[in-house]
Amino acid sequence: MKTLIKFCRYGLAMLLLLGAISSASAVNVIVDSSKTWIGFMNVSELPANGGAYQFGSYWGTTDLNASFSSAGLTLTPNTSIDRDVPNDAYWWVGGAGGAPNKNMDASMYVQDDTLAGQTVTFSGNCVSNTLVSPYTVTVFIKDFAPDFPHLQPLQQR
Amino acid sequence: LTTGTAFSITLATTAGDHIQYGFETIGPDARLATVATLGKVIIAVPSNIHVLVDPSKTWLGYMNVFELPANGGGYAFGSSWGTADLNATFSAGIATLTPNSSIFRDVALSDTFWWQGSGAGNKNMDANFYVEDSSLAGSIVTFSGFVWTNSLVSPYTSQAFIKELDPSAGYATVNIITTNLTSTNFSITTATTAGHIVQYGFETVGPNANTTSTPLSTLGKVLVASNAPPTGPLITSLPSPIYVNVSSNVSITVGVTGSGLSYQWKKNGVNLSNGSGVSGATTATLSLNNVQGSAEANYSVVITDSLARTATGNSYLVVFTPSNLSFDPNATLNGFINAFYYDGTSTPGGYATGFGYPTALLQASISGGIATLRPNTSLFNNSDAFWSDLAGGPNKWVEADYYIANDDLAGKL
Repeated sequence: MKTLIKFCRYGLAMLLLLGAISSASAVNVIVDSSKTWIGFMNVSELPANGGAYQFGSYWGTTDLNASFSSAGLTLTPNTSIDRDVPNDAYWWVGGAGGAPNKNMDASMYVQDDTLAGQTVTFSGNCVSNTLVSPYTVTVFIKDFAPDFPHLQPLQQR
Repeated sequence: LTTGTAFSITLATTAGDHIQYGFETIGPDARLATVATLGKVIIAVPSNIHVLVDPSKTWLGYMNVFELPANGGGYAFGSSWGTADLNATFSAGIATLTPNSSIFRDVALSDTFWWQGSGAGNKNMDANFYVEDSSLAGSIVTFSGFVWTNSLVSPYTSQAFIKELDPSAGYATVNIITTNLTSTNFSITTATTAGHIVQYGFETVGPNANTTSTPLSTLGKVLVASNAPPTGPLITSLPSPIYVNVSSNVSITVGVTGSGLSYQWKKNGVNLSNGSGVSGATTATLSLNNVQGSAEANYSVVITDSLARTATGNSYLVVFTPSNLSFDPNATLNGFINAFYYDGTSTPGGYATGFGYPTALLQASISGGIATLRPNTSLFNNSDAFWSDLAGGPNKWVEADYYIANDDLAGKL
């Protein structure tokens, strides 16, 4: 799998403003709410506990937590575990009222295999990012080989 | 991802692979009570913008010049051109795209850069007629319109496009989406990137035309607009068959809706010209004077509108000679039943009833100019005492008439 998170340079601007026969294999994708967005959660131990991978599975996007609204696409730390299993010692140190016990890697993505074989540019604008440490958000494009056994974005950062 | 900052990542993907793009949010599971203190990320969702073939926009011209495909097709140069020189113009909201002729207007045939020794064009002209609107960048742009007509002949082609240029990469075309203008309408959509330059319009490609040897009218054109074209010609009335007595005058008028209509009448498929008793051969009404038997024929009319859309109708003219009538299979045949009482003898009894009757039920028909007549079987009904003796025998004597009605013969010998 190839993952690239940087700007790409294009070929010569030979055809100036209107290159008629260029970049036929380049395609732009953006944060389009009309696309089918998929949720996938990878769960690991906390870094302080070694960070070992536990499991990954498809989740509803709202359970990630990720959602579209008139404001845009909003991504926040996961709270569905607290909603569903607030007293479980697997998820919380000591169970009820405990501190978080797992690291949540929430992927909110579009899968579009028609893009394969093209130079894909994914672009957009970050209106705001107020996440506090240790929470982070990254943007990605991922390319899975056809025989890759699991299409989930497992350990592909 | 930082507040107020655009992001853009690019990956050259491999054919056949599975491609995903999106976001990953990583960190410990959070308590509902405190999540608000942990912050959030908001990603802008681009708006959808629909652009049309809008003559009120500023349409620009750009010509890319290539060698002919037969000469390798190499790029020669490109520069901004006046749109009229492309040739691309707007009139009444309709854009007209035709093969380039401004080179022929401006450059002598002796210039071998532009002209072959034969006088044919020596370059492939890629004429771009477009709107440039950077405010579209960052949006999902849809460009649509209606193709009123595309009569371009090979090798000329025309297509609609949306292009995206990256100023930070020397204005390279980093995204292009096109569709050929071969359907009645077009619609193309692409996602664009903030900060780029977005262009949309039309690209007409083909050799520079020598309009003396090949007039533009023979090379075709494309008409595109934001609205659908008016309905093509539609025939609303055309009588057929028409009966006329020999040595008479007759007019055949076609009723038609449409605009910019022209007409061509034909006799048995051959174009008619005015003269020799024919007038109105290219009008809505064809007039024939002093018709003789040779005038009996199929008269068709082809109606063409300003967009080269056509409608065709047919009218058969039957010429009668009152003193020497023949059973003309091209006339309209009618059916009628007269029923008489039947007493088992070989002659009919008193008149019972009469009524019009479909010719197919008579049973009478014409095929290949030959009329076939059979005894009537369609009226017999063994449970109806009017038609049957209820013992399996007939109860009426039937006269089946298969005939031509022509009131113009009234008063004639």
